[in-house]
This record gives sequence, structure tokens and C-alpha cells, in this order.
Amino acid sequence: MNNAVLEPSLSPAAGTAVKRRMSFWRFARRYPSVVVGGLIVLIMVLIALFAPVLAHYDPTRPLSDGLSQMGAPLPPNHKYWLGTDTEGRDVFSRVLYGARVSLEVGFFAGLISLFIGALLGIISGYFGGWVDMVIMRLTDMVLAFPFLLFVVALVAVMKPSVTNVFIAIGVFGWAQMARIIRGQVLAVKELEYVQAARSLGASAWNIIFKEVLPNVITPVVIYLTLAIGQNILLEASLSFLGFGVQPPEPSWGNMIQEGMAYFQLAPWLIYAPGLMLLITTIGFNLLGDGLRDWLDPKVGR
Amino acid sequence: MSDALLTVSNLKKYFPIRKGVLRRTVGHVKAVDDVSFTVQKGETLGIVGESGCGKSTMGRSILRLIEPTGGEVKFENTNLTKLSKGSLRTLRQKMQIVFQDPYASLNPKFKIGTILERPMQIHGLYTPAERRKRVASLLERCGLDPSAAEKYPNEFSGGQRQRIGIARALTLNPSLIVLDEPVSALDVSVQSQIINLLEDLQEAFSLTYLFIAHDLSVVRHISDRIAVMYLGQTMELAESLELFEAPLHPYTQALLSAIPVPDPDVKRERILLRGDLPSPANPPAGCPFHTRCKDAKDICKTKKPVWKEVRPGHHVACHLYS
Amino acid sequence: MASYILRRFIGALVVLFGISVITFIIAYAAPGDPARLIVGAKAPQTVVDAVRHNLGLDQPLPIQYIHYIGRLLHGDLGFSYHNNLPVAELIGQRIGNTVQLALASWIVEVILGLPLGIFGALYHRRTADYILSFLTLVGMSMPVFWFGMWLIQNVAYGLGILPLGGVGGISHLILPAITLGVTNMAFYQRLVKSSMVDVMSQDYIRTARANGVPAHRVVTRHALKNGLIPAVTYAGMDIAQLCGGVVLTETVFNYQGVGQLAWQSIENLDFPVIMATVLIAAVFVVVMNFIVDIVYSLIDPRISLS
Repeated sequence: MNNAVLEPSLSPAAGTAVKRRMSFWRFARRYPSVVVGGLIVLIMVLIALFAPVLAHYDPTRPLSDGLSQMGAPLPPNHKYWLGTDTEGRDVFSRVLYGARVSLEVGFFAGLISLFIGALLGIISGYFGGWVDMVIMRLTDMVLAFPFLLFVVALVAVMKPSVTNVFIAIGVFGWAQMARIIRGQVLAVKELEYVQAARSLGASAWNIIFKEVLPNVITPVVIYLTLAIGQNILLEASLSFLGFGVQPPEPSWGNMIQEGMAYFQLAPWLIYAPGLMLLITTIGFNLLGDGLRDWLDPKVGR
Repeated sequence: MSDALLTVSNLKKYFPIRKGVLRRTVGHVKAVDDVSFTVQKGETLGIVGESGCGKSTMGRSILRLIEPTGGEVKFENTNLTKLSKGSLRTLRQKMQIVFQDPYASLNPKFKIGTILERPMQIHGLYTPAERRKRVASLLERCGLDPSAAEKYPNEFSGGQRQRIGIARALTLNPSLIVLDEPVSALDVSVQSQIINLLEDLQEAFSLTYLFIAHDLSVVRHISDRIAVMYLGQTMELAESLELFEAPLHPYTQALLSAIPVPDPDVKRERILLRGDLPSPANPPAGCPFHTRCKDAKDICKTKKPVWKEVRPGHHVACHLYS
Repeated sequence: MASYILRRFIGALVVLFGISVITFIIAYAAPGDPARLIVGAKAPQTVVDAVRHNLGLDQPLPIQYIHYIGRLLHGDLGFSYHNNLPVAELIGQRIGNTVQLALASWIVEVILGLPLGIFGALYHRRTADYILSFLTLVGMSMPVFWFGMWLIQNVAYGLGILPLGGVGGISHLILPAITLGVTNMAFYQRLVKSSMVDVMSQDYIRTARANGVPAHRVVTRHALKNGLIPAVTYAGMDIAQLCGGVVLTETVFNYQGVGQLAWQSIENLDFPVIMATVLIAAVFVVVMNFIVDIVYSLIDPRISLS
């Protein structure tokens, strides 16, 4: 698997030399952000997948010895590694399960945005004319909205739940994606190999799938990586405001919200989910940045 | 004249110039303006003109890669301009194009084999094994090693890429190939190799060429006949030899005089073109060339010369010959 | 040029119209019944119906929309069900606070982001740039509300020098402005840096350097002028976005601004207020976008031709 990952796709810039396969260590020295970011993301994905195995306790059920005799949450100790919360639940288990929600929302919202954005961006860029104008106006509208506020309102109207959160984020997050893809399609469309495919008798959709899409995929992957990071932050914000994942189901955002009032008393309630959130987002941002350096060499040179 | 493969009559391509709030059309760039000619089966018709004269647009309008504004293109006995998109796609097998820029005309994401098999896939021709065999033989025919099929475009030089572009044009067994400045982007040393290859292929597959170039010397020995274009219109059309020996149009004469002559003893008067190429958005009235013509008369400024055959097979649009 | 401005203006109007329609649809597609919310769960159905009629909620949606737009054009933003006050008044009470916070955090963002961006470009691909890049990456990844809480805990509470939240004077502005300013600065620094790096790799800059113009003069005389155009645009769009209200920061700091109002209204399903806050935020953005477009086309006339 490693070799497949490390074999770079061919640069779209014509005339550049083929990138050679390089050893892992050389690659890691040259693009440390790809490796570090990728590692963080990989770990978080594994945590999310194996949360039921890794977690020692039920994240939603208060434990019989989860509170001190005074009824206060327990600080981190050898039994409850990250302490317990005000309900007497194991914070470590809750943080692990929180990774599930975060990645699920980040990923699915990203996919929805990608799907809508790619469809509209391709149609807009490839066919042009009045279709392009309508779609671009629509994009302007969506981009003019206060994003967070609007997603909060949408979730409030639809009833808060994990599914509704990623639908709301996805449905309003496509605009930037559509713009990026449209720009790429516009650039690729005029290239002679697309004209060549037309002269060979290929149909519009055949050309879009075979000639245009493979050449716009790099910026899309980069943007998608960064967007997943932003979606994770957004989900946490929504849950923090009370419009995301509903208690007792754990999400890093609602854990921070619940712990807010106990910051002085039980700082681990804030630090544990907060640091997980921060590290995950850093992971995606690093990976996205690194991928851009690696795959899109014209930026920043 | 019964075996005309391609008949172009009064072909026009205007690009609208839009202005104002409502993007109303306020004028047109007449990239191709009323061009007519025929191409005989098996011949090579060279099209020559300065850059921006509309020759590439014309090539693409003939194939309907750009929708022409008016006029008619007849290929064999089919009127291309009236054809539905679906039947046009089928007919594209018979007419192919080779592009100017060998770096942009091959999709960098695909192996050469995929690029060459794709046309056959699109039209559902041959079995996969036959396709691969065909690709190998075409590569060989075009002077490349069959192992090239396993490589990506950026592993090849410009000349090699152009050979691949030519091989792609041949995959569907076309009868007509539009060569859109196929050697302009190549080194001079490579140019002649490609031209030789094109000549070989023409003979082997009885191909008909429409060879577009901006340089008369390039088309000189490959073309049977040559048409000279200026600002979207044809100025002169004649047999290759006759055009070089006895050019009629002052524009053709000027172009010819600019070709360097290898023999230092031959003294020749150079006709310098005055001024710049006028904007095709606002072409001069009358004869489009009158602003730069050394023989311009008053009538040239007001009346457009008619396209007529002044000698057998020799057409010209110039008031000097009316 | 005039026709370009007019076209952009019509475009902006179309966008505003679309925004008002979308807000309206979402607000009214809501399952909650505002009339019921006003009178309370125990009130008899006849009272609910009467209230609904009074508010015009029993009319078809298109009619309601037309009434809404008509009132909007007269400066009437509607009436808050929850607070029993005109929406315009509610927003009027808070917009001042929001604009103050917007300006303060914007100043933090620009004062830090601009020089750090230029610095990053000058030291591009050197250690200082890598460290700075990593720091801004952390800033980009930082959950605003978490950072705000951290500041409250460690600066306001821990050091005991600044108020924990609320409004009133400059001291109340400092922490929220830092919270917002620092996270936004991270994005801004990157934008400034990459646009400066772009400009500095252009041939005319290389020529200037090759001709022996000292590095700092190259930057101040040549690169800044062109490199900063995107930076100015971005900063303009940012202030517009900030003026629309910042939900998270205002909520964490219990700062009585439009963002907090919006959040509370959503909790109370107070639709006239939600619609007004969303609309105002969008208007800020659209108007600023329009201004930026025009300024851009004045700087670079090619844009109006495309």
C-alpha cells in the first residue's frame, strides 16, 4: 500500500520530467507535512473505527464510581485515564467516540459538498453560457450567507442530529468547491487534447469523465482535505452551540460546552476534547498543505 | 471534378463582440468570411496565411469543432453543416485533425496506448486484442517503437509526440486529415521528418490532407494546391507550382518574396508589407488587403474584388485581374 | 466602465433577492409554530389562531414574502415574537457592539497578519518561514470557542486583569478581539505570504534584484504594490463578514452583539430576528463584494472587459 501511495501521479504540467519513485525517508524529508498530517489523520481514522474496542467504558452511561464522594468529577487517574465528567462518565471513552462523530461529519459533509460542487462546477465550466451564469449567481448567494449562522439555523429547523449536521454543512459548503472545479474545467476545456477528443467523436459526458475529470482531480483532493478539517471544526462549533450532536451522545463540541462551566474545577473536561479537535484539524490542514506542495508544484515556487 | 472529397462553399464563422449591460452584440470578428474551395480525393491542399487570419478557425469549422456561422461543408456526399450531433460523431471517423501543439494535444494522465485505443473504444471498433495490435502497428508505421504504448506523453519529445498525434488521427482509418500547423511548434530539423512521414502515410493510406501553415515554404513541396488567406478570406488559390512560379495576388507575391533563397547570386526584389495586420473585428472596406498593398487603386478601397478563376485552376480575388 | 458597474450592481441585486427568498423559505419551512411559541403551550387554540392571523401567518407564503419585502423596504425588519420588540430596535441595540468588536479584531488581524505575511515571503522556505507557517497552521486549526475559553480561564480569571465577558469599554473588547483576530490572522498571513511570493517570483522583480536594487527596496517599491491587491480585497471582505456578527466568540464571551442575538433567536425559533440577522450579514458581504469589484476594475481595467 505504501508504494502505491508514494508513487506520485503524473504532473499535469506538460513537459516536466517524470517523478521518480523515491524512498520513504527521502519523501518524508522533502514533504514532512504529508507524512505527519497523513499520520495524524490515519490515527484519528483508526481511533474512530475502533472506538468500541479501544474504549473501556460506555461513553453515555454514568459509572457507579465515576464521581467523588462530594459528587465532583474525578481527575485523570490510572483507571479513568482522562478523568470523568460531571455525570460520572469516562472522558477517555467519550473522546474516542467523539472522533467518530467528527470524522463522520467531516467526511460525509465533504463528500456532499464535493458531489454538488463537482456537478455544478463541471456543468458551469464545460457548458458555459446562461447555465454558467445562473450557477455562478447561485454560488455568489451561498457565499454571501453567514455560513455558520445559516447552518445553525438550518439544523435548528431540521432538528439537530449527526445526519442533519453533515447534510446542512454539505449542502452549504459546495460553493467554494464549485468555483474551484469550474476554474479548473475552464482551463482544461480549451486544451487541445480535449479538442482532440471531440474531433474523435467523443460525447460531451465522455469527454468530461475521461479527459476533464482526471485533470482536475488534484486540486479537488487538496481542497477536500482542507474542507474536511474545516467541517470538523464546524461540527464542533454547532455541537458547542447546542445545535449539533445531542447529549448524551458525545461529540468534542458538546463535551467542551458541557465542561465550560467547570473550567476551573475540572480543566480536563475542556482540554481533552479541545486538544483532540485541535490535533485532528491540524492533521487535515497539514495533509492538505503538504499535498498541495507535492502535487501542485506551481503554487509557492 | 467528380471526385471531390470535401466541398466548402461560402463558409463563414463570425464571433460576436458583445458590449453593454445586456451584452448586446455590437459587431463581429469575421474570422472566416465567405470561403469556398474543394479538396480532391487524395490531394493535399495547403492553406497559408499570417497568424490571426482565420486559417485555424476555418479548419475547425470545417470539422464543426467550432460551429460555423454560415455556409456549407460537404464531405463526400454528406452535408456536414446540417448533420445532427449524433451522426456527426459517427462521421468523425472519416475526418481527423492533427493539432499544432504536441504538448497540449495529448492528455498527460493517460498512457500512449490508452490515448490511441480511445478513438476505437469510442466508436466500438475491434476487440481489445485487435486494438492493441493496431496501436502497435500504427506506432511502428509512424516511426515509434511499439513499447511507446506503455509510456506517458511527457516521456517523449515534441517530434515524437507529434508522431503520436498523427498515429491517433490514423486509428479510425480516416479519409481526410486536417493538419493544423502540425510542424510549426517543432524544431526545423524535425519539421522535415514529420513532413516526410506525412507524405509516406498519405501514399500508404490514400489520405487527403488539408494542410494549414503560416509559412509558404513549409507547404511548398507537400501541397498539390495552395490557398492563401488574409483576414478570413481567400486571396488566391492555385496549383502549388503555378503559385510559386507565377503568383498573381500582390499579397502572395509579398509572402513569396519573404522566403529566403539559398542561392546568393539570385537577386530578388523583396516586397515589404507595410503596416500591421488590420484588426479582424474592423476589417478595411473593399479589398481587405488594400491598406498594405503596393498596387492598391481607388477601387480597392470601396469595392470588394470577386473571387474568380483567371486561369484554369487558378483563382484570385484582386481588382488587378478583373 | 459604467456598463460594467451597472452590470455588477444588477448582479448584486439578484444575489440579494435570492438570499431573501432562501432565508424566507427556510424560516417558514420550520416545523415550529411561532404563534404557539408566543402564547405558550397552554393557551387555547382560538388564541393561537388569532395571533397567527394578527401576524399574517395564515396567508399563503408568496403573499407573506411580498409583505415582508414591502416592510423591509420601509426599514421595518419585523417584530420579534420572543422579545416583544421590533427587530430593528433589537438589532440597533447590538449592532454597535458588533461593529466595535469587528473593528477591534480586524485591526488585530491586519496588524499581525500583514507584517508576518511579508516576513514569511521574505524568508520563504527558510527556517523562520517554516516555524511561522506551522504557527499559523495551528491558528487556522484552532477552534475559536475553545481558544476563547482558554483565554478567559488563563488571562481573565488566572491573571485577574481583564473582565470575563460582557460589554463595556475597551477592556471588554481585548480578549474577544484577540480570540477572533488571532484565528483570522492565521488565514490572512497565509494569503499575504502566498501573494507576495507569487509577485516576488515574477520576472520584473527578478530583474530588479538582478540589477542590484537592494532587497528591502524591491519589496517596498515593487512587490508590495502588486502583492497587496489581494490582501486588501481579502481584508475588505473580512471586515464585512465580521460586521455581520460572530456567533461563537460573542457567545463564549457573553458579548451582547448581533451574533449572540442570532444564536438566541435560533434557540427560540424567533424567525423575524433570524431572517433579519442573516439578511443583514449577507447584505454587508454583498455590498462589500460590489465595492471591491468596482475598486478592482478601477485598478485593473482589464477586469471589466472579460
